[in-house]
Amino acid sequence: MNELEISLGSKAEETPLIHVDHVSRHYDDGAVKALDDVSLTVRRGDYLAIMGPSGSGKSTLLNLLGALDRPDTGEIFFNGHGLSRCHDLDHFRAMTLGFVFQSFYLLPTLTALENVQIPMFEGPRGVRQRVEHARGLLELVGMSHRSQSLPMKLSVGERQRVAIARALANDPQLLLADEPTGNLDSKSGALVLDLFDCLHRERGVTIVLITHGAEVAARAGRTVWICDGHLSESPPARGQSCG
Amino acid sequence: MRLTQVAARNLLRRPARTILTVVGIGIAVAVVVALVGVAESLESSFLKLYVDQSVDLVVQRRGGTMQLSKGLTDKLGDQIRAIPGVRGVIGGLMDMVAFEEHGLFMVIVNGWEPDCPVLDRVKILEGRRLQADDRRHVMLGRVLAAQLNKHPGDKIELYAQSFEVIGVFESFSIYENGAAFLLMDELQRQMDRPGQLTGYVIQVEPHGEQRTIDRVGHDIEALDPEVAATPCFDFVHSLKQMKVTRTMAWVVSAIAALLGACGMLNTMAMSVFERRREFGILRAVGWRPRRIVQLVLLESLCLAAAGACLGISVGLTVPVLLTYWPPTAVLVQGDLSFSGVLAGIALALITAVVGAVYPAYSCATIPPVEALRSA
Ligand SMILES: Nc1ncnc2c1ncn2[C@@H]1O[C@H](COP(=O)(O)OP(=O)(O)O)[C@@H](O)[C@H]1O
Ligand SMILES: [Mg+2]
Repeated sequence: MNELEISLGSKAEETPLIHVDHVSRHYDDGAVKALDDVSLTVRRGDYLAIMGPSGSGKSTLLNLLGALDRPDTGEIFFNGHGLSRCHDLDHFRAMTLGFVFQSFYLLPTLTALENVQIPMFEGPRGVRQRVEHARGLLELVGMSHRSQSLPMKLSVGERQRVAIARALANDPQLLLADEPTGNLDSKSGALVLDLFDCLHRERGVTIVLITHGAEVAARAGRTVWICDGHLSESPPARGQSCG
Repeated sequence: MRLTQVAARNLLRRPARTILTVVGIGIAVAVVVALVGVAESLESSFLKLYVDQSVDLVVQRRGGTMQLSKGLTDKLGDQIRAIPGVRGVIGGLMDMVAFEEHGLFMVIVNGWEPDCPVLDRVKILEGRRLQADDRRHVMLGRVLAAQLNKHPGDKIELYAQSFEVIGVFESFSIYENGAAFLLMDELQRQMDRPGQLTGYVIQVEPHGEQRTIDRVGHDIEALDPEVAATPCFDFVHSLKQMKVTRTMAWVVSAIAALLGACGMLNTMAMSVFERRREFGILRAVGWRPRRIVQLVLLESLCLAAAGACLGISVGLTVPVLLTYWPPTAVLVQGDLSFSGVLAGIALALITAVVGAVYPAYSCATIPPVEALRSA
């Protein structure tokens, strides 16, 4: 029914997947304003790139979107529900979100196949179903031939693909990626981005991605810029310092 | 994949640390199992000495159990025999001697009347039993005879005099197997305590009936205010030696437990702390703090279980080995101690929980962003 509503452009489309409403996040007793009164709307099926210089507050915003952190002021709505009023953010993260990090963050003692199963502990799948589902996901990211390998034995590009498979473990509505190609060479970076394209196009996954590269952002349907904790929908003028 | 597999992988990540921790816990558990076991075995073999003879009451001079110095008179025995309900009265005199050249320092010497049932009860292996007119004659328990390497006809030196070994006997009691028997008047003469006994053991009719035991005990104590008549079990349980051994066992066990817990706490705290980032990852993908605590607890339970297995097998072997070592052979009956094993398991369990829950909980509740930022 949801999809029908979206395609008809009816009421459901008016409730965005994410609505960031005047959010601020300060560190060190307000000395560092990592985010300052930021508002942003992400619709279902969007592919959004966030750009900005380092230290501008991109990761801070992504962590807030991912319910890993709470804003000091303002509210983040997911499907119209305020996250500050959610009692079980752990469960929310497990079942709704997928994370992809710059340095992969795979567990070093577990094989690729086992790493992919980690988020499924929170889901409804039994032991066998977890293995099967994980195999399917590794196949999706083109890593089924390395399913028994430990992360140490994989190339960085392969690690990131395993991490993407893990992010998809519980069929998330939203994929959050913090500089997913930042540690990759251009070839494996392109492979990872192809994968994102495919997930976005064929599975309708909403993606929010942080990047430094304009060619990465070009793949996204929409780009926003953050400078000194302020968000803008248009790129900063050339040569002009942001903010 | 199950949580247990995740836990196992973490334990195998640092095999040396895992093994050292298991050995540490194993030692602590072994100490507890062995000490509690030896203390219990000491008590139960002593109790057996009385129970197997159907002893109901032990009569001694008040103000101290196992008093060798102050005794009772042999007249008291006749008075006790006259009390209704008394079926048997055995008087005994006891002393301790040393055979230094054999490394034996606490050998029990018992003096019995020639018609004493004890002399009939023990099984003669060699020679014959003591008889009424035997002078400077001694019977040796099986273990003592072996330790001294003496047979009937050989001489031993006792109280600076030469005694002839007249017989070698075997008893159900390891205490008697390590003891020497003399005739009562001979021992009284050697100890220079004519007419004196260390104590009496009493059987009542019917045997074991609490009311009769209480009444007879009361009657005996009425004969002489200096005399205490104690039910058999209470007597053995209250022996100072038993109390000291028991207390020692528990004190040393408590220290071992403390050391074990510290070792576990150290290991788990280290292992948890160096995994802060991983816990951050787990939190990020939606694991609740509770599941992380479960994972760490599972790891420490595995360590504790391995330590307990190691410790229990060592701790149960030690008392058995002690029965082959001459100085302790007469004290310890290498039987398995249930409460020792229980105490060992309890120690391992407590260690696991104490060692795991606090470090795990303190790391699992760090906000995920902070945990991810840590190196
Ligand atoms: N936990 C924190 N404590 C203090 N300052 C922080 C913390 N996290 C981020 N910051 C600061 O907030 C600002 C934004 O950081 P971040 O969002 O990580 O930037 P970006 O991802 O765009 O490089 C930076 O100045 C950073 O130093
Ligand atoms: Mg960043």
